[in-house]
Amino acid sequence: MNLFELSVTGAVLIFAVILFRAVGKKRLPMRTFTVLWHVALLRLFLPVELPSPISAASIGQRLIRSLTGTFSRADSAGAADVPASPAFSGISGGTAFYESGFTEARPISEAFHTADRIAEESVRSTRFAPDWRLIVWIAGAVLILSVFAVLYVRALQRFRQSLPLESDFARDWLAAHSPRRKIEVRRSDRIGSPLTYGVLHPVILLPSDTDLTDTKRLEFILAHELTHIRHFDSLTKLLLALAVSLHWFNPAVWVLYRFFNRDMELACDEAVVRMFGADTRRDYALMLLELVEKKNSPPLPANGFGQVAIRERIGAIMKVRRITWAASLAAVIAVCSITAVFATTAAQEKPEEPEVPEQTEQTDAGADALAAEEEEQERILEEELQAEFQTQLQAQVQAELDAQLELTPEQVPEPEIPLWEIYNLTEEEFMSEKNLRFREKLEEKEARRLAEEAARLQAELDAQLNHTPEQVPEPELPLWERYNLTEEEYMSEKNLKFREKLEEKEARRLAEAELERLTAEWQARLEAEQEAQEEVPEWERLGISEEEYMQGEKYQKYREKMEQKQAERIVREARARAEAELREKNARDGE
Amino acid sequence: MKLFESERKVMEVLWREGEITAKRVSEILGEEIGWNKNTTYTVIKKCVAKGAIERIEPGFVCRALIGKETAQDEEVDDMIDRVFDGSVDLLFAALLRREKLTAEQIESLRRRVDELSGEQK
Repeated sequence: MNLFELSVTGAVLIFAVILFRAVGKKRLPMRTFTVLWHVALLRLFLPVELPSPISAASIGQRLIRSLTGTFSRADSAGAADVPASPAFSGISGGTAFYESGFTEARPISEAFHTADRIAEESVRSTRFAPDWRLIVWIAGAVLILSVFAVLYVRALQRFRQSLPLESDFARDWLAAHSPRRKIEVRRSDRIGSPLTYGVLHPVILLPSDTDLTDTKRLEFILAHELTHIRHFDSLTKLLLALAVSLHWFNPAVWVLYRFFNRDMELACDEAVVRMFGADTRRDYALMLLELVEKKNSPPLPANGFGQVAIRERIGAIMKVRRITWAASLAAVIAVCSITAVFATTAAQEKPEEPEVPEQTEQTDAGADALAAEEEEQERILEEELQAEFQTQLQAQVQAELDAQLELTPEQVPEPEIPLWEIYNLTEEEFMSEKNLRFREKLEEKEARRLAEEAARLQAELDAQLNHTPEQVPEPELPLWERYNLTEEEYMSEKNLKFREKLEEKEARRLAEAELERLTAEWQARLEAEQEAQEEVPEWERLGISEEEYMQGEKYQKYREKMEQKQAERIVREARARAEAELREKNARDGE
Repeated sequence: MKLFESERKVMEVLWREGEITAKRVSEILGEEIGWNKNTTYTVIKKCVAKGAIERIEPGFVCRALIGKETAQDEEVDDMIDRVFDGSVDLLFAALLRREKLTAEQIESLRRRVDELSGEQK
């Protein structure tokens, strides 16, 4: 799910909760609504698809589909031009449209249509091009987030300059009511009304001019702030700020911001009244009124006493009733059903996708029929071309093979340098024995080469025959055209090259054989030398007896290693010397 | 000048200890009221901006430019304006109303009044 989808789904949920709240706020505990707001907040952040058939999104999608079915065919043609952006690709229902329209309605033969290819490439290129909508969104998000951040940091700085509160009553009360979570209480002359801040280490801040002797009042204040802490309202405020930053373009989220803050306060008021009993309502309400006189509003990240619609609060306080079973049950049901319907997303789009092309055929039969006919024609044409191509290729290859196989030594055209001169022989010598051997060799090699060539061509042909239409490559140029020659030139030229290659190979082989021979000679010589040499025997060097060296297990590995090393050394030496000898020889021959 | 509570706390340390480094101030306040180093430094800088503290380099040594009594006087003036609508009489009345003055305090009060009236004459 992308951000836009999250935002829209969230907005739907928010509006649902607003409606529900308008109806139910007098009968249901305020906690119900804060829970629902939390669900909405989660919905805005978690890109979790919760497909459900009863989802409002599913219903909406079906509505949209039935309304705009006629447009989908045209859309799929235009879909190629829609730049795909990470943040904005339409509502979940809309995305399904674009995707299915784009992929289903296009057969594979599209690859041969230039128009489509251009469209494809335009989509590919725009996918990576900077989307101005994304840039605007980032700019807005960064701006709002930094405003929040600055306000938050400044406020925090001010809070930190607070002084400890000297009130045993407050300390004891908090210790009693929050045994597990340590809550610090401090005072500051920079705030107008009590507030609390801090997620991990909560702190309650009271204005310095709070009358610490009025314990009843103090209790109210502490109870209210304690409830904020219990509900983790500080964290919620942070999340709200983040939500507004990310979804700044969505007015529903701003509405959420306002309502959620207000409901957090109302929930705390409710808790206070419940804690102290209904008869304390009046005192509490009066206290709130007095606090309103102080004009300072609490800085952003803190939950204050809420100058937020004090009238609504007092009204709500006076109407707080005991939580009844019925109300609780109703609340739970309401929360579950609203979540189920509005927090979920459109269900099972995938199985429906194949439907869409069918649907489009139904709805726009004329255009479809035409398209289908075109496709059919394309296909036929393709097949014909393919068949023709294959027969052509086959004929070509066959002709080549035939040509080469029919070439006998007698047909070898006269070389520029007579064969016998290449081998430093007289014509007679060449004609007698050598010729025979040569001809035999030539025929042998020729046969082998042709066999290889034939096999290769056959393989190529097979591969080409097995190619699917998309894979059919461009027909290859005839062999001689590849080298930019005419057929005749190729026929003669080729033979010459072949002969040259053959001679090259022969010379190389002879040289290698010679090297081997020389190496072996040298090896033998060196080995004999070594035996003759009176070197200090290993065992003497090690300082032990010959027997021990030869038979001792300890020395077995050592012996083997030494022997191996020696042998290697000899071989290396022999080879080096052989190479040197050969080089000398060649130099001499050259002269 | 108006000193906030936080600034007053810093001044109190300087009035008590005399000229000391900002670091030392932050250590003391960290122990006494739980401020971290940055917070103390922020407040000190505010005081310097207001002209209540002089910063001496090297080492960021702090010197109080305003005396304790002067600060108190300012504070009292401010309170009289705020709480008693500028009337000192009302402040007196409030003090006497509290019925918490001991005999000694009344005596010292009377003496001061005499001195004052003596000066005025």
